[in-house]
Amino acid sequence: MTDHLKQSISALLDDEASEIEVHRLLREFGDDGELKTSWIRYQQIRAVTQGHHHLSESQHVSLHTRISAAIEEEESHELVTHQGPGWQRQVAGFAVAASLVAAVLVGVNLNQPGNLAVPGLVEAPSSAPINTQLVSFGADDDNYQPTTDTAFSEDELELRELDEVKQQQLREYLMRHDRMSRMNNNTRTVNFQPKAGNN
Amino acid sequence: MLKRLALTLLILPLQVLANDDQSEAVEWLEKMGASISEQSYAGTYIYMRGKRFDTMQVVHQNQNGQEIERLTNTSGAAREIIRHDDHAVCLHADDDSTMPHALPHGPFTTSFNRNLAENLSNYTIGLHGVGRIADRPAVRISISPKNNDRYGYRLWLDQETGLLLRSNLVNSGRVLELFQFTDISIGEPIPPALLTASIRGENVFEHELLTPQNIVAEAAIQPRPNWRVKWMPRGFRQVSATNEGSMVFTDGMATLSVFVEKRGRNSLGDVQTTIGGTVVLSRPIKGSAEQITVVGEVPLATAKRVAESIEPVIY
Repeated sequence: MTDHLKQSISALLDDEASEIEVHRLLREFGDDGELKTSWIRYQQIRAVTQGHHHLSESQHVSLHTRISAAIEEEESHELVTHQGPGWQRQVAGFAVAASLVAAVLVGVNLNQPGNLAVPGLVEAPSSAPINTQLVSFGADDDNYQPTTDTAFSEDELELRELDEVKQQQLREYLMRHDRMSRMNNNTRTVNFQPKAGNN
Repeated sequence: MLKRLALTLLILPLQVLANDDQSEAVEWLEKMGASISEQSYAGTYIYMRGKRFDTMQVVHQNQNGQEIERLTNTSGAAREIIRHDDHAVCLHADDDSTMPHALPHGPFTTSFNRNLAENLSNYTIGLHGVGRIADRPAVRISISPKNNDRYGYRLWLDQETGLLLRSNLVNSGRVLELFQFTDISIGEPIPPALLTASIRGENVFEHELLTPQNIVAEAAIQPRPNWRVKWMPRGFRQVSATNEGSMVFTDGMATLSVFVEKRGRNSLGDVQTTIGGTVVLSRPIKGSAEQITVVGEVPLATAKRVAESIEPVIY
């Protein structure tokens, strides 16, 4: 790897790389194993020297989502500029490269603990391209906040509408389920059976 | 071409970093599993699921590898569990057989950790710094399901010992169940009186722990079932099928029970509800005289999909 490439990586990490440098790096990463290794090492050094934590898997998925979105934009660009002259395609390519770099820099900034609670980053909407559920922590999650967790107050309304016989039947299903769960050692209660002679 | 190069540049290095993070979180989970039986502790915890709210006191001693534990509820009719290693009895001072003989412990079990370890491939684990629970520094860990067909968890582990101090069962950002110590001492000498049953007298009843072996004997396997479920979340496997039309599936973390029964006057009809993290969904099976009921610790959408996949078996 040339010193020139090393300087380009350093510039990329510092958000000072020119569009030409970015494009060259993207091209070189396809077939330069040493360059990849350096990139990993530079990122780790940067994270340690700036007191950042490593990216968690969930943050990685979030970053992946952003990158996927950027790539979608790239494909749109390609469709629009398909018939255009060569210089237009090149400019579009630079624009996409810049947006990808922006994505990775946003991702690196996620290392800061204070950013963990940003709702838009940790709670992916149901329409997100990755069908995963991200569990994270808010700044005040050590304290329980019932006003924001509505599950406790809304989910049992239907029970009250059942008559006593059906409520009993529903309880019976729950007990049978709990006994079956016990068989698999993942019950949430301890169950007991009567001894002979007792109730 | 640009897409492939960009992904190589951006994602590969981050996966390396994420794996480091995950490894450390997994180490914490292993520590959690060991500490629940190896540590000595005494404290009070709450466990909320749905509208149910329980407060329990737990005293646990490990002396030369031998465990003694006393678990007591602090409200309602008194119940007490005394456990010596694998043998546990429940004591209570009433003889009302209609009262449930169950005490809640939530995820505060050795099996929670073991089941989680066996299913890590279905989850993404993350570290989120240090919080404070029961006046102790607590490492915060997220357990995110890779698919929306199951729940996630937030865990707070004691920074010194790894003991579970708090957990949330989470679905789409909502807390379904909460387990939390409100006070706890760890590693302090435990007075013998705290490990002795406090419920005494002539009218004390004693019950043995319902063991998995008892239940396996109940759940005879039906070799030629009349119904089958075509769809289950990834990782779930069938563990029993009975002549009465019940099927049980589990991925280790959650259990799904499916009951197929003849419809009658007292059948539940078309009902769906959740109690804490447990969903109950019941509906008539179209074109048949049967009713399907699905009960389990999964999101409602997952239970619906399971119910919709039921079909008769033609031999």
